[in-house]
Amino acid sequence: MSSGAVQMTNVSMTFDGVQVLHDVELSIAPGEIHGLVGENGSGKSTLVKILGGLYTPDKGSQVSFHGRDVALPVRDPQRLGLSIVHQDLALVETMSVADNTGISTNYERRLAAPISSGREARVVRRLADHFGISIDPNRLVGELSPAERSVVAILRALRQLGDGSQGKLIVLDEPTASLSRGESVRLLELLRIMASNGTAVLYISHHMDEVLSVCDRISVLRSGRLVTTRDAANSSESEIVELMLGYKLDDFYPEVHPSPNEVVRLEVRDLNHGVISGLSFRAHKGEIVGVTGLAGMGQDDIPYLLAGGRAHLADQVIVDGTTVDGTPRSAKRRGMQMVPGNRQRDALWLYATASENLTLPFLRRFWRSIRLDRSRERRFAEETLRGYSVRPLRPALEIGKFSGGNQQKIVMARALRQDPGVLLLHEPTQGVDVGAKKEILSLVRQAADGGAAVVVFSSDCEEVAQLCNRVHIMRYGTVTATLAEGEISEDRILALSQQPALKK
Amino acid sequence: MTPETQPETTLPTPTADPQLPTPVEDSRYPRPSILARLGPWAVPLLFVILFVTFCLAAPETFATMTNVRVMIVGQAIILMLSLALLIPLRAGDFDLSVGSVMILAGCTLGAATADGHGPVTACVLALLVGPVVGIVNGLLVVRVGIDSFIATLGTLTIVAGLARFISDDALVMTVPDEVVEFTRRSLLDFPVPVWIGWIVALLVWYVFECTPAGRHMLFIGSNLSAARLAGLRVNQYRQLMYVLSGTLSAVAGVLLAGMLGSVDPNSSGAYLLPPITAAFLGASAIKLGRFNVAGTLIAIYLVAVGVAGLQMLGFASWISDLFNGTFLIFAVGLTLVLRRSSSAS
Repeated sequence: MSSGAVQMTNVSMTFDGVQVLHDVELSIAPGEIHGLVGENGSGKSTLVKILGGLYTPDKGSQVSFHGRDVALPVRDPQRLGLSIVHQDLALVETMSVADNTGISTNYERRLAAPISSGREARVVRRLADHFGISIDPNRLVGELSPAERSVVAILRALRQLGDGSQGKLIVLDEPTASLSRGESVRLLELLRIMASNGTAVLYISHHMDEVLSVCDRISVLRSGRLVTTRDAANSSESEIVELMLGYKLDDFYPEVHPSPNEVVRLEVRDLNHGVISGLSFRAHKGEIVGVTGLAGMGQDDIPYLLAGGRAHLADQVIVDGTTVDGTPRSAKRRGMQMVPGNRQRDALWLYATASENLTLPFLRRFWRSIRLDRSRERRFAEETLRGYSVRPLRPALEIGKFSGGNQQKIVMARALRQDPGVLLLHEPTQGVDVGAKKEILSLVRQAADGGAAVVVFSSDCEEVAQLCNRVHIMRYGTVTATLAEGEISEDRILALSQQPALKK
Repeated sequence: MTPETQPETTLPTPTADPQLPTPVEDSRYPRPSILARLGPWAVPLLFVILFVTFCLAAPETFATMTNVRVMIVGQAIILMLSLALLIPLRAGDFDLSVGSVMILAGCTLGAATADGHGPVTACVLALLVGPVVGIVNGLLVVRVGIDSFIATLGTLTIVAGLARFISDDALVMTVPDEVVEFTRRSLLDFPVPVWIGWIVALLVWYVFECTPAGRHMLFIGSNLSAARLAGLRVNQYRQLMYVLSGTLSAVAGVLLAGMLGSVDPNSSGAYLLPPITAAFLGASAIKLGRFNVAGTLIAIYLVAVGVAGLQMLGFASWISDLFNGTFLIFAVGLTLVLRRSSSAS
């Protein structure tokens, strides 16, 4: 038996007669950061759930911790030195940082013993100091930024593992999905410190650059099979992506077409609300405008102010020459469509079919004298799903059974088929796998080529740099820098995001 | 809804990227398991099984036309209340006050008659109770934002108190003869209230299943925030549902007064659970996880058959409470189990 911190051998998993994992082998050495990549649905989370004891793998599968085989399903993973930070961090917003970190260890107390808040704060501070994190143990989690929340979840995991994290395993499932670049960098630092203390880290992410820069070895999953495990040092991003997809993905980003058109379709003038102060910008016909910045600088609020009914606007927002009042209805009437970043919360009707989700704004078209014409609706859904290459091509399948990327394509299709003049996209490729990301970005480009003014609100600098004609960089609620065509690069965007605001 | 017959406009649809492999994943999504496919038919099946069993067990009493008629007439009021409950529930809001609104409407009818008003005025006053309580419920839930369960639990109690107040806590006997006569009139062997219930059920079914409004309500009920961002008039819909729910309950009140010839101001408690059971049991049938009319109708008659059958086999009337409670829990549990089995991956 290998002496890895964890060793998975011949792990297979079958749901309802469908095999989703085929003889996967994975071993992680103590002190190693091991990357796990693959498209959505390739089996990454299934693997993690087997480790965490949520799923029972098929007969013949073997899992061992520190060279000792364990009975399956894995029972009490915490005792084996395993801690998992799930993508949904599972924090209680109305409780403090200290309360959140202690909850899975019963605050090291007997159930009915009183909890000393002083001791709690000390424990958390000591743990945080150990990893060079500064965080106030008494703050409410609800007040923290996404990055700080991830840190709290990680602190909780560390506390679960006990003080000496020697010989322990921590699994992080996309911890940086909602973080800006600067915040991710800090988090990756934290991983390195953990590894240097002897903890084995299993790191799952869609961000290839992060995986390549932080991991020692990378395992690639495709359709439930382990394609390869290789050293990160001699791998390139395109190689890994190719291994993930199983085919070559050249010209990942669509070509940026210059936008000669000077017709203004969206104008925002001196918008003030919350963090947003004195915000003004324009978007022209046929161009893609990027709005980016560090987390919490206000860019995430803009789409919801413009078309989400978050505030009542007087005349600060003008679409094709007409003012809108900020409500979704008024935005739609003027041809402004918004695609929210959190599709599960803000766009989808879970438990309904793909077709029902898609056709919602078009129902009027299927009205025949006294009722909805279902066959027309079905044809429309099928044609649209095919046109937007949604897989599987099954309009009657429940939306929750589609992968994140395909759900996003359906949400995009719903907006695009309404033929928007202005398209606001909030984090359009968040939590989307590489193949789907490419398709979604080419849809965005097509919409612009078709005459729409597209505004992308994204914290993914690379995406913004590659996709947009113009990029606005935000700091503290206002645009502090603008990069025009030809000036845009990822490095510049990063640099300008970090810089203190320049006085104009 | 405006029934527009505009030609289907052809919007540009992007063509699939030829580089990408053709979808082959369909095999990963096999047909749902037998449990998931047959699950929605469990309640209808149970109805048939119970009916046949009781017919065999009590051929003299249960398996008679008279008994079937008695069961259907006995459920006329529950049917109206279930529909009243179903309407806001479809859009995600509880209305627990339906039963007490019905009783208040009945008491209002009697009190107005006792005060010397004519039958038409008395009916109008009684029917007005519905939309008024509906507006209040809507304001509390939609505008103020109180959880619908709590808000309507409050109005339920207030309305029940008002019913006792206007009737001086005594049985209301002053139901106008015209109303009594109207409700006892029958058509094809069934009295008018049964027909009204069926017609309303048909109307609600039509709106739920055949119109955009029905789809919109489901979307609102399933994801309020997404429905709002999709541009639906979420608040107007929810407010309207409460008004409709209240109005239907008030109609049920007038019919109840007519059928019984009197109204007991303290009887609203008996009308709380059966509509809830019917709605939730209905949501576990036919269309899993969706409040729907066909399922609710089956659920109502399932409970009626069960209770009537057991009573004929010698159980006392307490069996009805036992039945309603058990089935409510069974219904919600069944929905959960079926959902879990259909989304195991």
